[in-house]
Amino acid sequence: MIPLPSLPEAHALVARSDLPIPAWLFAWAASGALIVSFFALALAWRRPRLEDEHWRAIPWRVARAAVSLPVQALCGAVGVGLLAVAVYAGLRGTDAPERNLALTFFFVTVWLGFPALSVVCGDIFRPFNPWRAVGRAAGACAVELSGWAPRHLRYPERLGRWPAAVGLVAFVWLEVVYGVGGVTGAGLSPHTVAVAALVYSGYTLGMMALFGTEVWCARGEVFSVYFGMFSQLGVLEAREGTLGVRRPAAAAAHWATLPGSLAVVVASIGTTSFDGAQEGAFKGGIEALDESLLDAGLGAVAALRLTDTIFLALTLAGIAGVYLIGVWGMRSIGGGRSFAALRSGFAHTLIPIAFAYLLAHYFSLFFFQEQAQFTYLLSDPLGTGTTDLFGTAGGGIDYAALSARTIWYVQVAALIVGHVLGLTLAHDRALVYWRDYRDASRSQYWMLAVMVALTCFGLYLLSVSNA
Amino acid sequence: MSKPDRRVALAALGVVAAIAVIVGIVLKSDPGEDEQEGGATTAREATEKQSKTSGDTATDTPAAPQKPKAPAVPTIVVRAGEPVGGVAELTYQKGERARFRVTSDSAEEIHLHGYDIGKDVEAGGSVTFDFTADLEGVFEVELEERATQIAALTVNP
Repeated sequence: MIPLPSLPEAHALVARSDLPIPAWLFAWAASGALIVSFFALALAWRRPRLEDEHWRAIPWRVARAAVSLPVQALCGAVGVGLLAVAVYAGLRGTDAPERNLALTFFFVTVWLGFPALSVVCGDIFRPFNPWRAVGRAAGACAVELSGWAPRHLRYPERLGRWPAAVGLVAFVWLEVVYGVGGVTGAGLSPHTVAVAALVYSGYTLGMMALFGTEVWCARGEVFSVYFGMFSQLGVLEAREGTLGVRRPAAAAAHWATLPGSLAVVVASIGTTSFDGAQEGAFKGGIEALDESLLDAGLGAVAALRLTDTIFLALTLAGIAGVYLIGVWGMRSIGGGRSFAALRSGFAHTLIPIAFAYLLAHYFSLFFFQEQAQFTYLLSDPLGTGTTDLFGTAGGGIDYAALSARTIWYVQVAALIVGHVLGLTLAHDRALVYWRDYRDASRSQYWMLAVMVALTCFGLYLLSVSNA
Repeated sequence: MSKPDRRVALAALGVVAAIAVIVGIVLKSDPGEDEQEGGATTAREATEKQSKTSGDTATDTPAAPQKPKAPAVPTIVVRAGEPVGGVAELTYQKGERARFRVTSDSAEEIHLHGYDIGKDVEAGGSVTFDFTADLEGVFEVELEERATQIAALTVNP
């Protein structure tokens, strides 16, 4: 018998969950975050350093070649091809989520892989974005064939990135709420995911036709906005037809100027938190509410989905609330900035926290699940058991490859580094807003409290048993 | 930063530090989360969770055996495709011998994920899992066809 690499239906793909970080590590990490914060205050610089990106072109020829049109076209074609394969696998492949390429590809490889890739390589999703590729190709064809340049509607700028924020929550909702674990028949099937991908493709191409490809990618296209947000932390950026380097994290300083940007980063932190808390910190609350909804006459699946939706909304509100209290506190320092200006002015300082949360919660899942992605899912994308394209269909996941300790240390390190980066960005921005150094420092006690709260909350989620 | 400001900062951070320490202590006092390096404790080899009302599953709670000579084997009772008493919790130290039994009133395929051990049980029969717990993490035990979780197997390092 072939050893079946296996994952349960529940919670889409998780066969193995991390052990909660032990109390001693929690205590060390929380203290570490505080000590680091002390140093941050003591050593902080007095002039803003991250307001200017200092972008410089890389002088090698390969930098220009990397962003040339043929390379972009090739990347776009790869993106479209992969989307097509994943949708096809979802529609025609097996119903077993863990044996079908579609779920792992969308929810693990792409959704968790691109944030990390974006930090390292810059906005690498942009060339691979299948919808952008189709949109650009369609636009170019239209001009070529008819000489008629497409005229677009003016995008309502007040909306900013709100469509992306809503889409982001919807995507995660599909994964962790709609595909609820534990209730038979309610799991997320590959077929549902494929249909959702097709619906989203139609919606995205329609919006691109209405408002223009690049406009929609910068504001409404969930994946472009989400992955693009993380790319702001990195040093590589394509500009003026070539690849260049910039100061790390400096680009983030100007990312949050569009309305709705705060919503995107809060959605990222909130959805990750909810997923981490669902079977740990919130378990008791979820069970209690679920039972009262069952008593109220709802069906089992509906009751659990409604409960989870309510808790997801509460988590998002909680994260936003903590941040807004910090902003409210900063406002009390004076300096003439409005609440709204401060609110968007510091939104980008949460990006490193969002990335830290992602790493802390999904690092091990990604590591294990990618083994499946590149062995049996690659060779047998439909999960039929009859194809073996690359001779790796017999492979499986080696759960011994990462020890529990390694995972704990990565989780804690991610949160603390994210904490430091968030503090750094906030300090730098405060120096711009409050010319007086002392006022800037005083305002930052508030952001410090926000960061410490979010870091300790992240640690707390990791320390609560999820069994 | 001027002197008074620094004092305010120190005071504020002191308060936060105190809160963090208190939270740490509270968490530390939680049962079953103590750090126990080296001494492989077989005492809580298996603990059954009694989350729901019916408490008739905890048929055998091991009374801290010194050697894994004849530890009581925890039994998960499956009735009508559901674990009686809720999802059972089984806890082991890495490297320990892990054993548990599943009895079911219906024919089922029982699957321990991660370790990837699958066994069939007949209606009214029982099946015993016996293996070395060498993978760390929390793993699900499922009724494969129904995708119903019946136990969570925790292996601590």
